[in-house]
Amino acid sequence: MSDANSAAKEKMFAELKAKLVEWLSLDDVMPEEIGTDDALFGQGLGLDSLDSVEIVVMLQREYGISTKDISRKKEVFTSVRTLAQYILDNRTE
Amino acid sequence: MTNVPLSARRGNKFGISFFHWALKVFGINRPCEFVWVICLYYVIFDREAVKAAMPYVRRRFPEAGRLRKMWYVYRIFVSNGQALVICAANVKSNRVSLEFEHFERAKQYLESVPEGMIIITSHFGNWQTAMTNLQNDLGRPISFLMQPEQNGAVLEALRHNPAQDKMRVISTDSEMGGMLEVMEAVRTGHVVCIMADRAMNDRTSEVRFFGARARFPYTAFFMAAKLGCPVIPLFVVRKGKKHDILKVSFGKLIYPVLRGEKNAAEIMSPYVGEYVRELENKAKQYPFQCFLFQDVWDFKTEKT
Repeated sequence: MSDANSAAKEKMFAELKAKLVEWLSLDDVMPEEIGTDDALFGQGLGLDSLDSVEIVVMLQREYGISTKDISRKKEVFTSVRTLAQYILDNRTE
Repeated sequence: MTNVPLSARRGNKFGISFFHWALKVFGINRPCEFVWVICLYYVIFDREAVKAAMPYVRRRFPEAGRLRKMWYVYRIFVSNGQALVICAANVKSNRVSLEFEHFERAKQYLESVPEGMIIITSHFGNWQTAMTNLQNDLGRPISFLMQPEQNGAVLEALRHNPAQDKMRVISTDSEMGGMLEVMEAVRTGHVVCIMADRAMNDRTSEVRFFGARARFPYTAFFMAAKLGCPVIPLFVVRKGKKHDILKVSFGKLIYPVLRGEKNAAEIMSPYVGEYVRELENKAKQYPFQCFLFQDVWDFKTEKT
């Protein structure tokens, strides 16, 4: 993996963590406390089903990602890493 | 508090088979009368069921004495049992006719946009029967957000419905509680039915219900706000002593909007309140057709 690629990913991880905190109103969580590979739902960050809706809307508004396909790709919501990869592969904005 | 609805744990295969046989032989009315006998057992021996029904009865009939309250619980059990019998009867032979009230509210909206909308229903009257008969009237595919294993009557009705290819169940037990499927369904023009009266988690708003603070789920309203679609409450009641005519009433369209710095529960509260006011009005009109079976006034027990 090139350095540029790696740097873009790291930047996306940080950006995404900040956006998750903002969009999901995670008042008691700092972005840097979220592990890149932590589970977003259940045991990890503890998000629930309505938070998944918020994430989809965020992806649409912030990155121009269509909601059409993402509802069938639940694996995308596993962690910050999987979500970031999906954004990098599919963003239009 | 357990999340398994009481109705899902009542009745057995023999009992269900018996009622199917009775419906075939006697039609709807006799089996509905027999429900009075069956429910006598539950009101005398099923303390858990009585306990679940009592909070609503206490709020709805505050002036009633203990014996009278038990009589009202009995009436509610009977009404609930009859609703299931009617649903089963309709599955086999379409014996129930629906009378619509304010149907144009939903119809006009759906004729004006390609997207779908959310219908909120309640454990009230004959909700199972109407839900599985709406597809033809609304002219849109219908998705039901529910726990499949807890809604046998609805699943059975769907299995026998000739339009079953245009109806599907989205399981709340699936990943992310089925929320992504709901989004996709509304986006592609489906009408999505969501039960709005029993809380299954802590996503609830505080509203007034029968004069006291109560908690009701805001999931459907939050989804609508995010999707930019309206929510419309639907109530299905049995009128008088007839067992084969159901009145299907559509409430006013509610357009939830997420704004401001407050949390979602507070923002959604006025919208949830609009629905709860309609629920209260229906419960005043048809007190024994309200099958809440959950203490929505209980602020001590955390819902998980």
